[in-house]
Amino acid sequence: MIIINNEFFDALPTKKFLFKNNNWHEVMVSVDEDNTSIPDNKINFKFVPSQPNNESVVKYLQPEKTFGEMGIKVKEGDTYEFSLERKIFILIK
Amino acid sequence: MDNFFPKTGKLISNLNPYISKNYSKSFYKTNKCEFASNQIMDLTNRPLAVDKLKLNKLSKADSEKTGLELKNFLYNKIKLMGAIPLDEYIKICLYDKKYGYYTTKDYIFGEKGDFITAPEISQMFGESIAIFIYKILEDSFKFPKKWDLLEIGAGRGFLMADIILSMIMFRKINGMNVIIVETSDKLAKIQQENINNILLKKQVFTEYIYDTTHKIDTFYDKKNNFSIKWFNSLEKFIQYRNGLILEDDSTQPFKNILKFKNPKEDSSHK
Repeated sequence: MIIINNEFFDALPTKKFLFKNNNWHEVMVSVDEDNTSIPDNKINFKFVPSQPNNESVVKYLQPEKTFGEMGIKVKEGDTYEFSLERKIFILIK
Repeated sequence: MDNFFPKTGKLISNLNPYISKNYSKSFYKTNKCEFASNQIMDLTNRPLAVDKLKLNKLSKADSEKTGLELKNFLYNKIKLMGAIPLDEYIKICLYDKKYGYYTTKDYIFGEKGDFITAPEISQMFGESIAIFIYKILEDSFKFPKKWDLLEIGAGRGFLMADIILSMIMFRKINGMNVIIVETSDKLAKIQQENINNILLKKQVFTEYIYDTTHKIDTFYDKKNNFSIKWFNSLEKFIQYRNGLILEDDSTQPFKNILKFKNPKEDSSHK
Protein backbone atom coordinates (compact mmCIF):
# COMPACT_ATOMS: atom_id res chain seq x y z
CA MET A 1 0.00 0.00 0.00
CA ILE A 2 1.18 3.46 -0.86
CA ILE A 3 0.20 6.27 1.49
CA ILE A 4 0.17 9.89 0.41
CA ASN A 5 -0.95 13.09 2.02
CA ASN A 6 -0.45 16.75 1.38
CA GLU A 7 -0.10 19.29 4.20
CA PHE A 8 -1.67 16.76 6.49
CA PHE A 9 0.70 16.80 9.45
CA ASP A 10 0.22 20.56 9.77
CA ALA A 11 -3.45 19.99 10.49
CA LEU A 12 -3.01 17.50 13.32
CA PRO A 13 -3.59 18.38 16.98
CA THR A 14 -0.50 18.89 19.12
CA LYS A 15 0.21 18.41 22.79
CA LYS A 16 2.44 21.00 24.45
CA PHE A 17 4.40 20.77 27.67
CA LEU A 18 6.13 23.44 29.72
CA PHE A 19 9.03 23.06 32.16
CA LYS A 20 8.50 25.37 35.12
CA ASN A 21 9.59 25.32 38.76
CA ASN A 22 11.52 22.09 38.18
CA ASN A 23 8.41 20.26 37.00
CA TRP A 24 6.77 19.45 33.68
CA HIS A 25 3.30 20.88 33.12
CA GLU A 26 0.88 20.28 30.28
CA VAL A 27 -0.26 23.43 28.50
CA MET A 28 -4.03 23.78 28.78
CA VAL A 29 -6.54 26.22 27.32
CA SER A 30 -8.74 28.15 29.71
CA VAL A 31 -11.11 31.11 29.60
CA ASP A 32 -9.45 34.49 29.96
CA GLU A 33 -11.78 36.54 32.12
CA ASP A 34 -9.58 39.62 32.44
CA ASN A 35 -8.45 40.19 28.88
CA THR A 36 -10.10 43.28 27.46
CA SER A 37 -7.67 43.78 24.58
CA ILE A 38 -10.34 42.85 22.03
CA PRO A 39 -13.35 44.93 23.06
CA ASP A 40 -15.83 43.35 20.58
CA ASN A 41 -15.23 39.81 21.67
CA LYS A 42 -16.37 39.09 25.16
CA ILE A 43 -14.94 35.57 25.20
CA ASN A 44 -11.19 35.13 25.14
CA PHE A 45 -8.97 32.17 25.82
CA LYS A 46 -5.52 31.84 27.32
CA PHE A 47 -2.88 29.20 27.90
CA VAL A 48 -2.53 27.95 31.45
CA PRO A 49 -0.16 25.32 32.87
CA SER A 50 -1.73 22.20 34.35
CA GLN A 51 -0.93 20.71 37.74
CA PRO A 52 2.72 19.63 37.85
CA ASN A 53 3.28 16.11 36.50
CA ASN A 54 -0.32 15.53 35.51
CA GLU A 55 -1.62 12.37 33.85
CA SER A 56 -0.49 13.41 30.37
CA VAL A 57 3.06 14.16 31.52
CA VAL A 58 3.35 10.74 33.14
CA LYS A 59 1.64 8.85 30.32
CA TYR A 60 2.88 10.59 27.16
CA LEU A 61 5.83 12.86 27.89
CA GLN A 62 7.67 10.49 30.27
CA PRO A 63 10.36 13.09 31.10
CA GLU A 64 12.83 10.64 32.61
CA LYS A 65 12.75 8.46 29.52
CA THR A 66 12.58 11.32 27.02
CA PHE A 67 15.22 13.61 28.53
CA GLY A 68 16.97 11.76 31.36
CA GLU A 69 18.12 8.74 29.38
CA MET A 70 19.08 10.88 26.42
CA GLY A 71 21.15 13.17 28.60
CA ILE A 72 19.23 16.25 27.57
CA LYS A 73 19.31 19.06 30.10
CA VAL A 74 16.08 21.02 30.38
CA LYS A 75 15.91 24.48 31.81
CA GLU A 76 13.21 26.78 33.13
CA GLY A 77 10.75 27.83 30.43
CA ASP A 78 11.57 25.05 27.97
CA THR A 79 8.65 23.71 25.97
CA TYR A 80 8.18 20.38 24.23
CA GLU A 81 5.57 19.62 21.59
CA PHE A 82 4.44 16.43 20.01
CA SER A 83 1.40 15.00 18.31
CA LEU A 84 -0.11 11.73 19.44
CA GLU A 85 -1.79 11.33 16.08
CA ARG A 86 1.50 11.39 14.22
CA LYS A 87 2.52 8.24 16.04
CA ILE A 88 -0.06 6.37 13.98
CA PHE A 89 2.30 6.60 11.04
CA ILE A 90 5.23 5.17 12.88
CA LEU A 91 3.16 2.12 13.67
CA ILE A 92 1.87 1.55 10.15
CA LYS A 93 3.89 -1.16 8.49
CA MET B 1 13.55 7.18 -17.28
CA ASP B 2 11.98 6.43 -20.67
CA ASN B 3 9.60 3.81 -19.41
CA PHE B 4 7.99 6.26 -16.98
CA PHE B 5 6.11 7.96 -19.72
CA PRO B 6 3.21 6.66 -21.76
CA LYS B 7 4.16 4.91 -25.00
CA THR B 8 2.49 7.61 -27.05
CA GLY B 9 5.35 9.88 -26.02
CA LYS B 10 3.01 12.64 -24.90
CA LEU B 11 3.83 14.54 -21.78
CA ILE B 12 0.79 14.39 -19.61
CA SER B 13 1.11 18.05 -18.68
CA ASN B 14 0.27 18.99 -22.25
CA LEU B 15 -3.17 17.53 -21.99
CA ASN B 16 -5.95 19.95 -21.44
CA PRO B 17 -8.82 18.06 -19.89
CA TYR B 18 -12.15 19.78 -20.08
CA ILE B 19 -14.57 18.74 -17.44
CA SER B 20 -18.27 19.04 -18.08
CA LYS B 21 -20.03 20.33 -15.02
CA ASN B 22 -23.48 19.06 -15.95
CA TYR B 23 -22.20 15.60 -16.68
CA SER B 24 -21.39 15.01 -13.08
CA LYS B 25 -24.63 16.44 -11.77
CA SER B 26 -26.67 14.10 -13.94
CA PHE B 27 -24.47 11.25 -12.77
CA TYR B 28 -25.33 12.03 -9.20
CA LYS B 29 -29.02 12.28 -9.98
CA THR B 30 -29.13 8.94 -11.73
CA ASN B 31 -27.16 7.30 -8.97
CA LYS B 32 -29.41 8.88 -6.33
CA CYS B 33 -26.54 10.46 -4.47
CA GLU B 34 -27.44 13.32 -2.27
CA PHE B 35 -25.35 16.25 -3.27
CA ALA B 36 -25.49 19.96 -2.75
CA SER B 37 -22.09 21.31 -3.62
CA ASN B 38 -21.10 23.70 -6.32
CA GLN B 39 -17.39 23.31 -5.81
CA ILE B 40 -16.95 21.33 -8.97
CA MET B 41 -13.43 20.95 -10.21
CA ASP B 42 -12.62 22.63 -13.44
CA LEU B 43 -9.07 21.64 -14.22
CA THR B 44 -8.73 24.33 -16.85
CA ASN B 45 -9.57 27.07 -14.43
CA ARG B 46 -7.09 26.78 -11.62
CA PRO B 47 -5.60 29.96 -10.27
CA LEU B 48 -2.20 30.00 -11.91
CA ALA B 49 -0.45 32.30 -9.52
CA VAL B 50 -0.80 32.86 -5.84
CA ASP B 51 -1.23 36.60 -6.32
CA LYS B 52 -4.65 35.89 -7.78
CA LEU B 53 -5.68 34.61 -4.43
CA LYS B 54 -7.78 37.03 -2.44
CA LEU B 55 -8.26 36.17 1.16
CA ASN B 56 -11.29 36.78 3.37
CA LYS B 57 -13.88 36.65 0.64
CA LEU B 58 -16.45 35.37 3.07
CA SER B 59 -18.67 38.09 4.42
CA LYS B 60 -17.56 39.33 7.81
CA ALA B 61 -20.88 38.58 9.46
CA ASP B 62 -20.82 34.98 8.24
CA SER B 63 -17.40 34.17 9.59
CA GLU B 64 -18.12 35.96 12.85
CA LYS B 65 -21.27 33.94 13.32
CA THR B 66 -19.55 30.56 12.96
CA GLY B 67 -16.66 31.79 15.08
CA LEU B 68 -19.00 32.84 17.87
CA GLU B 69 -20.79 29.50 17.92
CA LEU B 70 -17.48 27.73 18.33
CA LYS B 71 -16.39 30.21 20.99
CA ASN B 72 -19.58 29.74 22.98
CA PHE B 73 -19.25 25.98 22.76
CA LEU B 74 -15.66 26.09 24.02
CA TYR B 75 -16.54 28.61 26.73
CA ASN B 76 -19.32 26.40 28.10
CA LYS B 77 -17.16 23.31 27.91
CA ILE B 78 -14.30 24.91 29.82
CA LYS B 79 -16.67 26.44 32.37
CA LEU B 80 -18.18 23.02 32.98
CA MET B 81 -15.16 20.74 32.80
CA GLY B 82 -12.23 23.02 33.54
CA ALA B 83 -9.27 23.82 31.32
CA ILE B 84 -8.79 21.48 28.36
CA PRO B 85 -5.48 20.23 26.93
CA LEU B 86 -4.16 22.08 23.88
CA ASP B 87 -4.60 19.10 21.55
CA GLU B 88 -8.25 18.74 22.52
CA TYR B 89 -8.74 22.45 21.87
CA ILE B 90 -7.21 22.11 18.39
CA LYS B 91 -9.27 18.99 17.73
CA ILE B 92 -12.53 20.79 18.53
CA CYS B 93 -11.59 23.86 16.50
CA LEU B 94 -10.66 21.85 13.43
CA TYR B 95 -12.66 18.64 13.43
CA ASP B 96 -15.74 19.01 15.63
CA LYS B 97 -18.80 17.73 13.73
CA LYS B 98 -20.90 20.79 14.54
CA TYR B 99 -18.42 23.65 14.90
CA GLY B 100 -15.12 22.47 13.41
CA TYR B 101 -13.33 24.39 10.68
CA TYR B 102 -12.73 21.54 8.25
CA THR B 103 -16.07 19.86 8.92
CA THR B 104 -18.38 22.83 8.58
CA LYS B 105 -16.82 25.54 6.45
CA ASP B 106 -18.05 25.80 2.87
CA TYR B 107 -15.00 27.30 1.24
CA ILE B 108 -11.64 26.29 2.67
CA PHE B 109 -9.43 25.92 -0.39
CA GLY B 110 -9.04 27.99 -3.50
CA GLU B 111 -9.93 31.50 -4.50
CA LYS B 112 -13.08 31.73 -2.39
CA GLY B 113 -11.46 29.98 0.55
CA ASP B 114 -8.78 30.77 3.08
CA PHE B 115 -5.70 29.13 1.62
CA ILE B 116 -4.35 27.29 -1.35
CA THR B 117 -2.24 24.14 -1.61
CA ALA B 118 0.17 22.92 -4.29
CA PRO B 119 -2.23 20.51 -6.08
CA GLU B 120 -4.75 23.32 -6.43
CA ILE B 121 -2.33 25.49 -8.37
CA SER B 122 -1.08 23.08 -10.99
CA GLN B 123 -1.76 19.55 -12.13
CA MET B 124 2.00 19.00 -12.43
CA PHE B 125 2.21 18.45 -8.68
CA GLY B 126 -0.11 15.44 -8.82
CA GLU B 127 1.55 14.20 -11.98
CA SER B 128 5.00 14.18 -10.42
CA ILE B 129 3.63 12.23 -7.46
CA ALA B 130 2.02 9.82 -9.94
CA ILE B 131 5.35 9.29 -11.70
CA PHE B 132 6.99 8.67 -8.33
CA ILE B 133 4.32 6.08 -7.44
CA TYR B 134 4.72 4.45 -10.85
CA LYS B 135 8.48 4.19 -10.29
CA ILE B 136 8.06 2.60 -6.86
CA LEU B 137 5.55 0.06 -8.14
CA GLU B 138 7.60 -0.85 -11.19
CA ASP B 139 10.96 -1.09 -9.43
CA SER B 140 9.90 -2.78 -6.24
CA PHE B 141 6.89 -4.87 -7.17
CA LYS B 142 7.02 -5.30 -10.99
CA PHE B 143 3.67 -3.53 -11.02
CA PRO B 144 1.31 -5.67 -8.95
CA LYS B 145 -2.04 -6.76 -10.38
CA LYS B 146 -3.78 -5.18 -7.44
CA TRP B 147 -2.49 -2.30 -5.35
CA ASP B 148 -3.77 0.23 -2.84
CA LEU B 149 -3.27 3.94 -2.74
CA LEU B 150 -4.31 5.67 0.47
CA GLU B 151 -4.69 9.38 0.81
CA ILE B 152 -5.38 10.92 4.18
CA GLY B 153 -7.11 14.28 4.12
CA ALA B 154 -7.66 14.83 0.44
CA GLY B 155 -8.86 18.44 0.42
CA ARG B 156 -11.01 18.99 -2.65
CA GLY B 157 -9.58 15.89 -4.32
CA PHE B 158 -7.30 17.66 -6.78
CA LEU B 159 -4.21 15.62 -5.92
CA MET B 160 -5.96 12.26 -6.14
CA ALA B 161 -7.78 13.30 -9.32
CA ASP B 162 -4.47 14.22 -10.96
CA ILE B 163 -2.90 10.93 -9.88
CA ILE B 164 -5.85 8.90 -11.21
CA LEU B 165 -5.75 10.90 -14.43
CA SER B 166 -2.03 10.15 -14.79
CA MET B 167 -2.59 6.47 -14.06
CA ILE B 168 -5.24 6.39 -16.79
CA MET B 169 -2.63 7.92 -19.14
CA PHE B 170 -0.09 5.30 -18.04
CA ARG B 171 -2.78 2.65 -18.66
CA LYS B 172 -2.24 1.41 -15.14
CA ILE B 173 -5.67 2.04 -13.70
CA ASN B 174 -6.48 -1.67 -13.81
CA GLY B 175 -6.35 -3.17 -10.33
CA MET B 176 -5.90 0.18 -8.63
CA ASN B 177 -7.71 0.62 -5.33
CA VAL B 178 -8.02 4.15 -4.05
CA ILE B 179 -8.84 4.76 -0.42
CA ILE B 180 -9.50 8.24 0.88
CA VAL B 181 -9.72 8.95 4.57
CA GLU B 182 -11.67 12.15 5.11
CA THR B 183 -13.21 13.22 8.39
CA SER B 184 -15.31 15.95 6.83
CA ASP B 185 -18.48 14.71 5.13
CA LYS B 186 -18.69 17.94 3.19
CA LEU B 187 -15.20 17.57 1.72
CA ALA B 188 -15.80 13.88 1.01
CA LYS B 189 -18.79 14.78 -1.18
CA ILE B 190 -16.73 17.39 -3.02
CA GLN B 191 -13.96 14.84 -3.59
CA GLN B 192 -16.44 12.26 -4.88
CA GLU B 193 -17.85 14.68 -7.39
CA ASN B 194 -14.46 15.95 -8.54
CA ILE B 195 -12.94 12.51 -8.98
CA ASN B 196 -16.01 11.15 -10.77
CA ASN B 197 -15.77 14.08 -13.14
CA ILE B 198 -12.30 12.96 -14.15
CA LEU B 199 -13.33 9.35 -14.50
CA LEU B 200 -16.39 10.12 -16.62
CA LYS B 201 -14.36 12.33 -18.91
CA LYS B 202 -11.88 9.51 -19.42
CA GLN B 203 -14.67 7.00 -20.09
CA VAL B 204 -14.23 5.16 -16.81
CA PHE B 205 -17.73 4.43 -15.60
CA THR B 206 -18.08 3.63 -11.95
CA GLU B 207 -20.99 2.16 -10.11
CA TYR B 208 -21.96 3.71 -6.78
CA ILE B 209 -22.23 1.18 -3.98
CA TYR B 210 -23.14 2.07 -0.43
CA ASP B 211 -21.89 -0.52 2.01
CA THR B 212 -24.69 -0.52 4.58
CA THR B 213 -22.90 -2.71 7.11
CA HIS B 214 -19.72 -0.68 7.11
CA LYS B 215 -21.26 2.66 6.05
CA ILE B 216 -18.72 3.24 3.33
CA ASP B 217 -19.16 5.04 0.02
CA THR B 218 -17.63 2.98 -2.77
CA PHE B 219 -17.29 3.67 -6.46
CA TYR B 220 -16.46 0.55 -8.41
CA ASP B 221 -15.59 -0.03 -12.04
CA LYS B 222 -15.99 -3.70 -12.87
CA LYS B 223 -14.40 -3.47 -16.30
CA ASN B 224 -11.12 -2.06 -15.03
CA ASN B 225 -11.29 -3.64 -11.57
CA PHE B 226 -10.84 -0.15 -10.19
CA SER B 227 -12.39 1.12 -6.99
CA ILE B 228 -12.45 4.16 -4.74
CA LYS B 229 -13.56 3.98 -1.15
CA TRP B 230 -14.21 6.72 1.38
CA PHE B 231 -13.68 6.28 5.11
CA ASN B 232 -14.38 8.94 7.70
CA SER B 233 -11.57 7.90 10.02
CA LEU B 234 -8.23 6.19 9.76
CA GLU B 235 -9.24 3.88 12.56
CA LYS B 236 -12.26 2.73 10.60
CA PHE B 237 -10.13 1.98 7.58
CA ILE B 238 -7.59 0.00 9.59
CA GLN B 239 -10.40 -1.99 11.19
CA TYR B 240 -11.86 -2.66 7.74
CA ARG B 241 -8.49 -3.81 6.43
CA ASN B 242 -7.94 -6.07 9.38
CA GLY B 243 -11.41 -7.59 8.99
CA LEU B 244 -12.67 -6.30 12.32
CA ILE B 245 -16.18 -5.19 13.13
CA LEU B 246 -16.46 -1.47 12.60
CA GLU B 247 -17.44 0.80 15.39
CA ASP B 248 -19.08 3.91 14.11
CA ASP B 249 -17.21 6.48 16.11
CA SER B 250 -16.56 9.24 13.68
CA THR B 251 -16.49 11.85 16.44
CA GLN B 252 -13.03 10.62 17.41
CA PRO B 253 -11.12 10.12 14.20
CA PHE B 254 -7.87 9.30 15.93
CA LYS B 255 -9.16 7.51 19.02
CA ASN B 256 -6.91 4.52 19.12
CA ILE B 257 -3.61 3.78 17.56
CA LEU B 258 -4.02 0.51 15.74
CA LYS B 259 -1.62 -1.51 13.75
CA PHE B 260 -2.11 -2.79 10.25
CA LYS B 261 -1.95 -6.53 10.06
CA ASN B 262 0.91 -7.93 8.06
CA PRO B 263 -0.64 -8.85 4.67
CA LYS B 264 1.04 -12.27 4.83
CA GLU B 265 -0.87 -13.10 8.02
CA ASP B 266 -4.12 -11.90 6.58
CA SER B 267 -5.41 -14.26 3.93
CA SER B 268 -8.87 -12.70 3.71
CA HIS B 269 -7.67 -9.56 1.94
CA LYS B 270 -5.97 -10.05 -1.36
